[in-house]
Amino acid sequence: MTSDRKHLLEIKGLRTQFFLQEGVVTALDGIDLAVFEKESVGIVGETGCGKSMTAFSVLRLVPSPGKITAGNIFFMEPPEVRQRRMLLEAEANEWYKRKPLAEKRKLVAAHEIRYSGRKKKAKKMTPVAIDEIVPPEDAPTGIVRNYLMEKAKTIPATDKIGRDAALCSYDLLTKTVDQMRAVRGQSVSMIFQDPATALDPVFTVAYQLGEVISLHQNIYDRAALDKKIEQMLQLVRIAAPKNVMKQYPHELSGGMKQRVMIAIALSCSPSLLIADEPTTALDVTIQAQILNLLRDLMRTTGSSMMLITHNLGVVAEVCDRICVMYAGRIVEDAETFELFANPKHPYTAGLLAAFPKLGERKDELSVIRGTVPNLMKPFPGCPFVERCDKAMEVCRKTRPSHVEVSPGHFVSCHLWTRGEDSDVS
Amino acid sequence: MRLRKSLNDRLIGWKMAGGAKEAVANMLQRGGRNKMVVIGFSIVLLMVILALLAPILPIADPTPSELHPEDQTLPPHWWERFGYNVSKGDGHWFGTDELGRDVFSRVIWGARVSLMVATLAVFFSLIIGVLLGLTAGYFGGKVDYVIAGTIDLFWTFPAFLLALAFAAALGGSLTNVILAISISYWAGFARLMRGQALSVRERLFVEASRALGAKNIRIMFAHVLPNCLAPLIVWASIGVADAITIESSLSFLGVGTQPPTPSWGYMLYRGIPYLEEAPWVATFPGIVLLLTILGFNLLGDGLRDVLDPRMKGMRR
Repeated sequence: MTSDRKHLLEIKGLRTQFFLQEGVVTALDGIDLAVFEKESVGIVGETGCGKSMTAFSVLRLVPSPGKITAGNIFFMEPPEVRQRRMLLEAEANEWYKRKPLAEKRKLVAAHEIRYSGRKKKAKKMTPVAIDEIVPPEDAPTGIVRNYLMEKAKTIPATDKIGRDAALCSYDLLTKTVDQMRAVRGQSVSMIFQDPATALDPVFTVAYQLGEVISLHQNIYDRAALDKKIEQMLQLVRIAAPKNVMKQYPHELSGGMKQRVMIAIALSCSPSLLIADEPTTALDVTIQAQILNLLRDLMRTTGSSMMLITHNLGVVAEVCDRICVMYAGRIVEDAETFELFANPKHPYTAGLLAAFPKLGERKDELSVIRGTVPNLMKPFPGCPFVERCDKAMEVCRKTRPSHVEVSPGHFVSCHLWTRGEDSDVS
Repeated sequence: MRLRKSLNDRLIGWKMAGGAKEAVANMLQRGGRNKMVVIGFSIVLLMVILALLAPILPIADPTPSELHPEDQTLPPHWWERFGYNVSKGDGHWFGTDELGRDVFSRVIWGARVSLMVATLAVFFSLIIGVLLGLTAGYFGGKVDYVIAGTIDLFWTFPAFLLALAFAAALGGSLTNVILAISISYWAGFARLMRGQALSVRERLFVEASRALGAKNIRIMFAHVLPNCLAPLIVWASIGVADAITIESSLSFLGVGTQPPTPSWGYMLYRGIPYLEEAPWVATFPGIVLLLTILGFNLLGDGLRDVLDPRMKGMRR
């Protein structure tokens, strides 16, 4: 049912790492995520699991010691290009699989940026380290990219689709800084957690809205701009837009500020809106208003939304699909009702159990024991193994693959992969 | 109170976008309530008006081509109560100097020189300081390393010593004095600006405007700079006082404004040998110099209180 819908954003094997003095922190470790058109996807997880990093990676705004070291982010890729690319990737995988181990090692050494930010150092990796990371089956994205680049040389210039597919033209990671800047705000917009600090305190609402509109739409006429600003403020249901326009952020309430933020984010009608915990800083009654507003706006404007939150109630209300993240990986991905009714991953089940229900009083709230693993140390198995009640021997050794347990319901857990590929190691 | 209100209305009568009007009105009102700002601003305004009107005021020529020996070191006409013989003098408020020139007129013409040199010097050092400090603070890294090093290099020397060296090397003239003060004074602005930019660039709205596709240069000048303005304004008004001091000191030491152009510092210097028999020659320029510097300092201190939102409710 998902395959016939159009992909808006497709993240494949995204890895974002921070190169610190003390070592390398793998904030995102191979994220696979798709957002379809006119869909709102919720990303849920606890603090520090990489929810916000996913958003920043999509916008290519990962803060300084961090780098995106692997993966692809395809955005607004036409279906025919996507199809062609899938074929090419399958070809690359096949080609990689047939290589002997020695050559695989060489390829990994040449194209994988894993333990340092620079390729130069990666070449000097010890053979043991290379051995550890040489994947037996799937080719790493760096190698696929390189294969496709080589392939692109053989594709004639007239075959536009083929070239786009081979060169990954719709991959946000291949865009130049200027192209990326045009994407931000215009095609992908972001709402921040704390509206109080996300607005510039020294300018009026009208100035800040006008800045974004004139920047991306080249409207410089004062009257036209004012009209557009008023429309935007009406869209987010601000009662007296004429008055609010003249006000400074500190004169507005938290809910109003968040409305203004939403108006700014939506002012260029982006195809994808990333909302990074948009209701965390607001009080509960305002939260509901803002969530309703977001949901209605998504329906009327027909854009997609990626809602990042740690609040399961929020996603249940707004999102069509939910991705549960844990320690930089997506552990479960399902339609909202399916996920709530039928959580497959022990972590999701634990999360749902920990969510207190109204009208029910427990002496002790249920918790998930233990803490999040240290992201600085690479772990070969499932990151949840230390806290999992159903942990098995295999969980410590191999990383579970993302499998579809029922249509549209993906989970990464050995409980569900067993029998299919349990003896990968 | 009503008069001040109407003045406020008139002052902000120019076309100003939306809320800026209220903000300026609010600032004027708060400024009007602050005694330091009122006193400082009055002194500065008086000085500026006198300096601007110097050519049309009914005062004597500060640099007469012919010198009258009989006019030399006449006491001010109202000093007869101190026991001075004022029979020869005819209405010299501050007396005359050793060459028979009217001190009052020279003080007013001197204000012209001092204020112009100080304002221009502060203006240029403000521009240099803001550009370099903003670049250093905003981008950080290697750029910051180089610029901050340069700032520290200039900051190590007292501004006055540096200005003295530059003025001596360049030779005394009005332009060179402005240049010397600008070169030696920009480091303070750059330091201030860098520190402000460092803190402002970490704030969420900078990240937000980057996420909305703004260029670095736009974020720098449209978001970071306006958020750093308040301390810059304060520093600039205190800086004018500093620059006046430096200019006068340079003239006093003979490397600043060259005679016969009237300059407060040079007048002080020339008055020293006559301090016993004709104290007015050095005293009056000194008092005016002191008042002007006091005015700018009061204005700067008061503005800091007015512009700092944390001091909003406090009474000073």
